[in-house]
Parts: sequence; C-alpha cells; structure tokens
Amino acid sequence: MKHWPFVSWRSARRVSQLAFLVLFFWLFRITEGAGEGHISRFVGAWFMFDPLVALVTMISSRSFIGPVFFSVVMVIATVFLGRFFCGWLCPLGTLLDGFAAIIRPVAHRTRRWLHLTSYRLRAIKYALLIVVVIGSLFGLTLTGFVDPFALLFRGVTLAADPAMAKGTDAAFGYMYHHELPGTAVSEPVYGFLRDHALPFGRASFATAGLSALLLGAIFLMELADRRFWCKNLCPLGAMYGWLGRWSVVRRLPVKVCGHCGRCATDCRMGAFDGEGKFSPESCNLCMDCVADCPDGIAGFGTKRVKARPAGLQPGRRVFIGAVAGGIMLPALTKLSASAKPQAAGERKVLRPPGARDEAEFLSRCTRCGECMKVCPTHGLQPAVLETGWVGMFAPMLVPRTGYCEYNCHLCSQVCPTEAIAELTLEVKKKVRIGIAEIDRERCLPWATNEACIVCEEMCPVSDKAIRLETVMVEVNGEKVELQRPFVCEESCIGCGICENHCPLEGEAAVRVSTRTKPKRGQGRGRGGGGDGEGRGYRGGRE
Amino acid sequence: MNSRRRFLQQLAAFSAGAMVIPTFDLTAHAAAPGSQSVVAVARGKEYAKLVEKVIADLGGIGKFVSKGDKVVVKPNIGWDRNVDQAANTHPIVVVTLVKLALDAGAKQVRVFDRSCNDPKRCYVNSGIQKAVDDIGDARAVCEFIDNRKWMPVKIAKGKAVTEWEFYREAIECDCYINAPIAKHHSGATLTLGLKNTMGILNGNRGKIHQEMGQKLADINTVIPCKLTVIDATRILTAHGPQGGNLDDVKVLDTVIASADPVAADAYATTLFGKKPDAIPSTVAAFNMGMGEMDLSKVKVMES
Repeated sequence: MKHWPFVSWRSARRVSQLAFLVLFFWLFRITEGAGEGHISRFVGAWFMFDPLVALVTMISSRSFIGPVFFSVVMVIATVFLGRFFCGWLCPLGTLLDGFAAIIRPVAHRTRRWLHLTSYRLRAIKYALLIVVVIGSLFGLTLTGFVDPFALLFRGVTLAADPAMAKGTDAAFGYMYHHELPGTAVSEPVYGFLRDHALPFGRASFATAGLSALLLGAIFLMELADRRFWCKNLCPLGAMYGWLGRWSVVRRLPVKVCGHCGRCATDCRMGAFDGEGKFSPESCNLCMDCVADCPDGIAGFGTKRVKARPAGLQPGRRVFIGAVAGGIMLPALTKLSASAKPQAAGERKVLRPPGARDEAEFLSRCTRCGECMKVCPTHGLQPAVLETGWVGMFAPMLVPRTGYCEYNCHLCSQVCPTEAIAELTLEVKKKVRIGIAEIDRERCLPWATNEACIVCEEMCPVSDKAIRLETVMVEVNGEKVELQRPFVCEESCIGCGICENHCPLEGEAAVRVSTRTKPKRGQGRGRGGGGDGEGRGYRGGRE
Repeated sequence: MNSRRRFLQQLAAFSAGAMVIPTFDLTAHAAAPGSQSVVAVARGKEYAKLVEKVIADLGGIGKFVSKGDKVVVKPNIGWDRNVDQAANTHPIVVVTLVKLALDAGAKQVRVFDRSCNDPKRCYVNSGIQKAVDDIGDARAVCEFIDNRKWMPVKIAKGKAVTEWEFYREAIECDCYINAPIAKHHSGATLTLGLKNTMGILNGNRGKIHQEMGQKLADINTVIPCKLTVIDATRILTAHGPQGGNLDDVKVLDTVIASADPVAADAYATTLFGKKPDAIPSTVAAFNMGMGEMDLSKVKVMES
C-alpha cells in the first residue's frame, strides 16, 4: 500500500503538516477577545487533545478533568497507527522540519562536530516522562517546562508574537512618520495586517526572554541532530512512542534490507538502531523511506512478520535513575523558602478570578499560556519565582501591568484544565481577587494635599469600592476643599484598575493586596464611615 | 488663515524629520472676536432630528465642513458600558454627525477615542462601532487608536501644561467635531466638551487631574475644534464618569451645539442644576479667551 490514487503518502503527510500548522496559528490568533463575552474552549484544543497534559494534571490534582479527556482520541489513534502525531500533526515538529531545511547548508558540519547523534540519547525523553509522571504523583505539575505545546504556545504568546507585532509597528510607523513615498500602499497594507494578522494589543510579558530561550533552544538543537527534541527529549513523544509500539500499522521490512541503506541514514527520526533494526517508538510515519526506496521495498501496513522490531529504549538503569529523580524533585521543593506555609486561604500572588485554591490551581495549571493570551489588558502574567520554581509560568494578575476588565470572563472560558474554573459573568463580577489598599504615604491627596481621584473614577463597581471624603486643607495660605479616597473593602473585588491608573511614577499609591477578607471594625476615615456616598465626612486622618 | 499656513509649514518641517515640535496656535478658531456666541438646543425623542436641528440653527453643516475636508468626529467611547448606562456618546448622535459631514462633501470622516477600558469592549458595547459601520460609506470609519500616530505638541498658551502627545489624526484634520456626553465626574464636577478632549491624549492622563481645570483649558487650545455637540439625550447624574447603575441615569432627550466650546459647556452645566462657574475648566477656558461662559451674553436658540 504505497500510493493513494493520485498522491504519495509523503505528499499527504506534508499537506497534513501544513494544514495542522495553519490550524495551530489560526487558533492562536483567535484566542483573543472580540469585544464580546464568549469564546470557545476549543481555542485551546491542542491542550485538550494532549495526553501528557491529561495524565499529569489529572494525577496531580487527583481529579477528573473533563476538557482534556479528548486526548483519549489521540491515545487510541496512536495505539492503532503508531507515533503518527509527531510526523503528521505536531506543529512544533513541522516548524522544526522547516527550520532544518533552512539550516541544511551548515547542519552537516555542526552535526558532525557536536557528535550528539547517538541512538542512546533516545532514552532521555523516557527519563523526562518518568520524572514528570512521578512528580505528578506528588502534586507537582511540570508540563510547563517540558510539554511541547506549553513551550510552543508560551514562546509564541510571550515573546514571538509581541516581537513580531512591535517590529511591524516600527517598520510601518517609520514610513508613516517620515511620510516616505509608498505610504499610499503601506498604510492600507498595515491596516490589513492590523485587522487580520497582528494581535490586538501590544503586550509585554514577564519571562518573555526565558520562554523565547527555551523555545529557541529546541530549534537550535536541530544543529546537533535532525528532530533532536522529538527523538531525544520530548516527553509527549516518549508517551506516543511507548503507546505506539504495539501499533497495528507497521513498517516493513523490519530490518534494513542491505541494498542502499538510505532509509536508515536519511531517517529524520533516526528510527533504526545500531544494528539496522527498525524502531517503531522512534518512527513518526513521515513516509520518507517509502518514497525514497529505490527498490520499492519499504512500506507501511498491517502485515505481520516473525522478525521483531527494535525494543523500547530506556533500559533498567535509566528507569531507576528517572524514578529516583522524580522523587527527589518534590523533596527538593520542600526545602525551598517558597514552601513556607501560607495562612489558610491566603495566596502569595493575585490569581485570575475563578482560580481554584492554590494547591489545586497549581496542580491543574499546565502553564500553557492560554489565559495570558486571551486577557485583554495583559494583566495575566507568568509568575517567575514569586511562588517558587514550582509555580513558574502559572498566571498571576499584575494590576500595574493590566487590570482585570470588569465585564470580561474570557480566561475562565479558555483554561483547558479548568484550573481557572469557568464562571458566568454575574458570578465573576462578585469574585474577590484581592482587596485594594491605599498607601497614604504616597497617595497625593493624603500625602501632599494635591487633588487626584483617578482611582475612584476608574472603579467599575457601580456603588464604587473607592469613595471620597471631602476635607478642608490649607494650600498656599488658602483654604481649599480636597477629596481624599478610601477603600470600602466590602465592595472591592480587587480588579486592580485603580492600581493600574494611579498617576504616580513607579509604584502605585493604591495597590491590590492578596487579602480576600475585608477588615473588621474599620475606623474613622476608612470604608464604612460617613453617609452612603462617603461624602461630606470631615474625619480626615485618624 | 495665517495660523493655518504656519501650522502646515511647521507640520512639513516636522514630517521631514527635522524633530521640530510644532507649536499650534488655533485659539482664533472658536469665534471671531466681537461676534456673539450662539448655543443651539433641541429637545425631543428623535435624536437624529435633534442633531440636524441644532446644526441647522447654527447655520448648517456647510459652515463647519467644506468639500474635501478630512473630518474627525470625536465622541466619548471611553467606557465598557452600553447605551442606556450613559457613559459614552449616543450612537445616533455620532452617526448623524458623520452623515452630515459626508453630505457636506467630506473626503473622510474618522471616529475614534482613546478608551479607558479595553478598546474592543468599549467600541462594541457603546454601540458606536456598529452604528458607524452600518452607514456603509467607505469614507466613514470607526477605528481603534493606532499607536504609531502619536505626536508631541507644544502648547504655546499653556499655563499648567505646555507639552503633551496628541493623536495626529485629530491635530491634522480640517474639521474637528467634539461630540461628548454630559456626565457627572467626581474630580471635574462635570465632564462635558472640554474634558472630552482628553480622549486624544497619549501617556499618563492621570497627571491631568492635578490643576485639572487649567490643564483642560490648555489642551483645548491646540485642537482644530470647530464645533461642539453635547449629547444630553441621557445624562449621568452620579458616580461618573463611568457609572454603571441605571438609577444614576436621567433621560433628558436634549442635544446642545455651539461653535463656542465654553458656551456649550456653560449651557450643559445648567442641566445638572449647577451654575457655569461651578466647573473649573469652564472658568479657566473663559479666562483664556476661548469663549463666553456668561449665558446672558450668549444667544440661546431653543427648540
């Protein structure tokens, strides 16, 4: 079974790769608010169909997570077909193939020089998979560091996309401001790009450099060996390889026939071991060997032969080492300062509205970046070390960068593992992310008797969680009326728009704390005093 | 006009990369000295007709928009609020102004605002995006702020603020029509026409809130504003400028228009039961000679 009626299997594979790459970027681009409330969870389909994500997050959180159950489809298909995902669907694999074509002139030399083409390296991905799975038994979700989609999506969201957008702005902006000839053409082109190809806002994200580095490193590994990441490191590839070793569809012949040996030397996945035996756990069904076989011997089918293909890679020593490593990681986590117990119910950082309790949140969160991509203000930023390395890349709200838009509940709709539980808008508007606190040492009306009530102006809660008290102060020898803001903690939902718009340079004079319980017995001058509007109260400072 | 020629010369110099920050002096626009300011007011349920009436009372759109003009209609699209919540300009008012400008032969009519909430939500929820798109004329666009288009402008007559970044489309147009909604505002007392100009400012606008009255007057000295149309079809009486509670909205079915931005604001102030001098920006602008705030000296045409 070598040819379809009009097209070779290899051509079919190439078309499939392209189609799924386009799908990936199209889903990426539509993971954005459209000015209205709803977005489909399927913008994160790659994560919902990712069995590594499903396995790790469900074990880690000890719960059944509905949306990621679609990954069962991939598991069944792999058991039947082998590791076809890596060759036909994976967008990272496709990008790596494209990159390999670009670096082909230098790749020959770098690969020979680096000497990292050994078949034994295949074992590393199994070690990583085992470490990740054992970690999940201890409630550690490590997908953010090793899952190919988390790395790809985050790398694009945090680094590549903003860079591309800002670069485009700069190039077209230069033409616009200098009124170069051709703006009659470039302006409409820019308009088109803005509407269809560029992201809506211009974001700056924490860990952009690190995420770019991680993703870039995967590409640079092509200099060491073709599909180095896929062969040797990708834990999802390890999972698919392990599942696919009993595949119904198999390659024949099982051993290099000895005529030209091109199948073995040209195989992008290095799916032939040292003895020339075919290794199903490495093969991604790219069909190159089928198309290039000069004798037409190679093919994929359901025929069974007596000869057995090469076995699975890891070996006992690697397995034991990986298990040990997997157990050590959680132990190491307990040593770090960030493992200090928090007050019950308190968080170290602000989380998106709908985020589950911290332990469950961190065990479900894949660090995929979907919520960060969809957040219209870019207030959801990846944590770096604020919650320790185990919390790295999980989303936190940074109001000074972006506040939580009052009428928006997009993040809770896109999270593929419901680490941010889906909320209706009515519920979301009442969820308390934190409570704003006014720093009277910095706030202009309190500290220097200057007029400013931007925080009150911005507060979206209709009865206003920031209210004003009017006092008489002396300015330049004159008595003037001054309005001073105070927080009505019962009404505050911690959205952070006050902190975001505070006009002070540097740190805002009103900041959202991670407290979610309003203070009791608030004294004069704070929330609850005066009449319902908080006006006309002359208490001043305590 | 002399100031306009100088404006174009300076713009050419700036565009040639000469890093000259243009200084605009367009305060002569508002009303020729000596002539009496006219404020047209119309009341009724058909908002499009109200807008047409007040423009007609001021002498017709041809007095403001010439054939081939690049026009900017600058509504308030600042907030993620719907039409009933009275935080943004009513879409019918915006669309009627756009249509009048198109009928007068405008080459292009742009509608935009630098929103305080997420721009997409504001443009959609306010109803203004759809209303302008539905006009179906390629010359009229409701567009998001393009961050390449900010330019530093020196405010020669500025007393409290002397330089700021303004939106280039607004500064360079031939006719700027200010289309605010009248609302309560905790800091400014009321937000009317002069304050609406903040929507074409870049940067940290919170800083405008110190000495706000004078700063609002200052920033209005550099825009080519020919006409102010204040939407008082429904006003926000409390918890402005964004409101949210329909109890704070009062339906007045009124539209006010004037070539004199100070007179327009002064009249609109009375709708809230306040005197014109209660608004610091009105007083500051009057003191700078930008218009008349004493309503007894203004010709009010009511219908």
